[in-house]
Amino acid sequence: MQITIDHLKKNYGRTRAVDDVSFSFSSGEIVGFVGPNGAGKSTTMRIIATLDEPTEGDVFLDRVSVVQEPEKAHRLIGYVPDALPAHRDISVHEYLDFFARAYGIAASARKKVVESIEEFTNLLGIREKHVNALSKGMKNRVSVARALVHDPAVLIMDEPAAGLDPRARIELRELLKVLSSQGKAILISSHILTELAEICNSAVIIERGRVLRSGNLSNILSADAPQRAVRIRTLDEVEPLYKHLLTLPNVEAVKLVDRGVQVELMGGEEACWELLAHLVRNGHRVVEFHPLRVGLEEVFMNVTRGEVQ
Amino acid sequence: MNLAKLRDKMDDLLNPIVVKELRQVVRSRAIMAALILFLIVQLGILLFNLTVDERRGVDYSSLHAGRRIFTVFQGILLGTCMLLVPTYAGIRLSSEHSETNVDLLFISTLRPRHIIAGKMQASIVLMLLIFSACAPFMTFTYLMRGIDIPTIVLILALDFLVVLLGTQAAIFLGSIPTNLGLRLFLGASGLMALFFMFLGGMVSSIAVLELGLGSRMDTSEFWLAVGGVAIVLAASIGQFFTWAVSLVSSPSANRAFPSRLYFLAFWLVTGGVAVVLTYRMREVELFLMWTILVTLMLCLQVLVSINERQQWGMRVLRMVPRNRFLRPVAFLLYSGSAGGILFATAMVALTFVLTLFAVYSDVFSALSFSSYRLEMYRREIAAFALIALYTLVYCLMAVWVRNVLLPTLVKTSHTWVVSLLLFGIGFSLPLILVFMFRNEDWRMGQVDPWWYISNPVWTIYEILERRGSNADDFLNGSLVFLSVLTFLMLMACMPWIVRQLRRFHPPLTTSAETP
Repeated sequence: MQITIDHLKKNYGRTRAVDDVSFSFSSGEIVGFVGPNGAGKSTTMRIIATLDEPTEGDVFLDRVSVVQEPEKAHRLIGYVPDALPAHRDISVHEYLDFFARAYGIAASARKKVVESIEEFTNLLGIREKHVNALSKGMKNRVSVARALVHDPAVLIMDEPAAGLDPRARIELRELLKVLSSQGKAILISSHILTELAEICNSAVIIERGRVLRSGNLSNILSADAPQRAVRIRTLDEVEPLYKHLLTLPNVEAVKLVDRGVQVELMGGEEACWELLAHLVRNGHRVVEFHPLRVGLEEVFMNVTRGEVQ
Repeated sequence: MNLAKLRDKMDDLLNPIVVKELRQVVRSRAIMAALILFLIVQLGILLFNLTVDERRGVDYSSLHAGRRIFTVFQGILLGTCMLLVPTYAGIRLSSEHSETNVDLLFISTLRPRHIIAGKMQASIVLMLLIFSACAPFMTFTYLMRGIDIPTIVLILALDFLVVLLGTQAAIFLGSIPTNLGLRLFLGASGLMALFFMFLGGMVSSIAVLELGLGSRMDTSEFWLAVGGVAIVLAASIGQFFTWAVSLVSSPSANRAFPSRLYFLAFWLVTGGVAVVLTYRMREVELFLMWTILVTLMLCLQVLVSINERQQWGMRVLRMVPRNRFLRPVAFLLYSGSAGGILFATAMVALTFVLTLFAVYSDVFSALSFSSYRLEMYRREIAAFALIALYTLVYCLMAVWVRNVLLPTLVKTSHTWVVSLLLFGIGFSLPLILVFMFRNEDWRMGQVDPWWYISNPVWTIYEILERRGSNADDFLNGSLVFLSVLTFLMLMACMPWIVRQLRRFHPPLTTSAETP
């Protein structure tokens, strides 16, 4: 399934929360939706989930428009909000059973479906507990389970990792990997960029309602890194290499690590190649030249200005 | 088919909302506490009355004890139901469908009408629970004399319908997506309306008790009256239902179409019932009650319409008729602010033309009303015509203020707040001006009523209470003045109406564009 966000705009009075946002992703992809607070992430996600109507633009799930045919879109989308809406006096199992009924799952299959979802999301042990009495992490799991109950093709997850303890985060990460391998298209927003970079294939960076970068994660990381770290080891002594590197113009910093050096280099892959060629030309017997992967955090800090609307 | 399959089949037929709500009701401590308290209070009252009557040496053959205690029980039943069931349903839906936190069930595959019907069905089960807890006590009053079983059944049925109407009205208010402040305001207004419904229910049942029904049940007039009231109450419940469904439907849908279509049917059916009842029972008041009911519904329709959308998405435009003669009709019936206002205005005009025709023409001439009754009707009809005109003036003024003076400040969906503010200004300004500039006249109670013309409450009070030639002049003058003002406001909003009318056409391409 191809999900296309097509020139989406959303105004709240004079404020334009979402300004001409366009990007697309497809089944099996996990897309990180990144931006500072107030960037328009949640609004965009709510529009995709049909909770809000855009001022202009549309979202298409293959050929189904979420604006024109929200009823059809409801079957295709599972939405995990940043906070589970309050439901008093209802247990986890009853809550999931209600949503299974709401999505029209027949009684003959419902019990099995709900139990398998509870097992998949590790909720079997707390199924009789009241939803309101659960911790943030548990509620989050219930929210994911609720979104999966009708087996949607698309998952929209708004800050699912916020407030989770490390164990819950790791479990969520593993869950997402499994869901992605099952062919679900996942759009996930989070402020924990290091974790996001580990699970996402693609990313969309948004600020003040506008998309700043979008596409394959490795492309974004390689294109937008202001400087990159390269680890170098030679067969010779480290000291001459260290001194030589300090004289080079593109080198920002050099530090001794293990049996080699780590260089902070200005520029992209071209600069890496030039450095390697230079070292070889100058007689250094390079046995390891390893550009370190730049983090999403660094790219995010470089691309965004921290402005809110 | 084995038992398990049959059970599954039955389970599939249940509305999910009913299952969820009932599970929550059973677990709710507040509801359980209210029910237990309700039973204790009834038992206490019964025991207290029996003990006191015993000490006083009351003679139960006096035929009043049963009726007296029944009235007390009925007050408790109606009061408890009115306080508990509508507020519970309204508050729950309001919290699930707020502007900031829409519950995820609204993005499930449940259709809006199933959501509202589910809420209603769950409320009915709760009502039945309370009624069944009260029924034994009420039936016991039969043994104490002064009341017959048909009267008990009829009053309980009437109470049931009144609570049902209150619940559906509360569900309608709860389905309005808005912020906390406005929700509190709507809640307070809803509670006030419930209190008046409670009063109406009590007054009607006391009147029924006084009349005694046993001897009247074999007359056709009796069943006509009961049937008429039941039809009007059921139709009103249906109107609130369609409004609530419209409010929880997708914003891109043609939300108003079913409710306006329903209103047309409601107008025709209840109007027909009113004509038949008036003719058969020789009471023109029945027809006037229809006028009042329809006028109030239309006022609400105007208040709802000013908050509606001003342009349409592809989903609605695809449904616009290509036929040029059908298109204006669709404009009035489809979702859209201007269409809604014009629809309500046309229906108000039609209602009053029909009412005047019915009361003053030869239609009911066989009833030969006295001149006193005709004079009384004239004032009452004028009062309700003024309510409709004031609603139109303030609502159209709000649209104009929103469009011209506050174009970026007020959301379309909050235009009703502007109309209420304007009403507040219109209500209080004359009082302040009179106090400042006509203080002496005010003290003597001789202020010219024209000073209060922007205050609907005062003007209508003057029309209903004043007598004499001056009063007639004021009645006619105020009607003319407000009709002209309505026309002027309509003209002021005309560019806005025309803009919407121009936008209302089918798309050039029939299918939605996809990437």
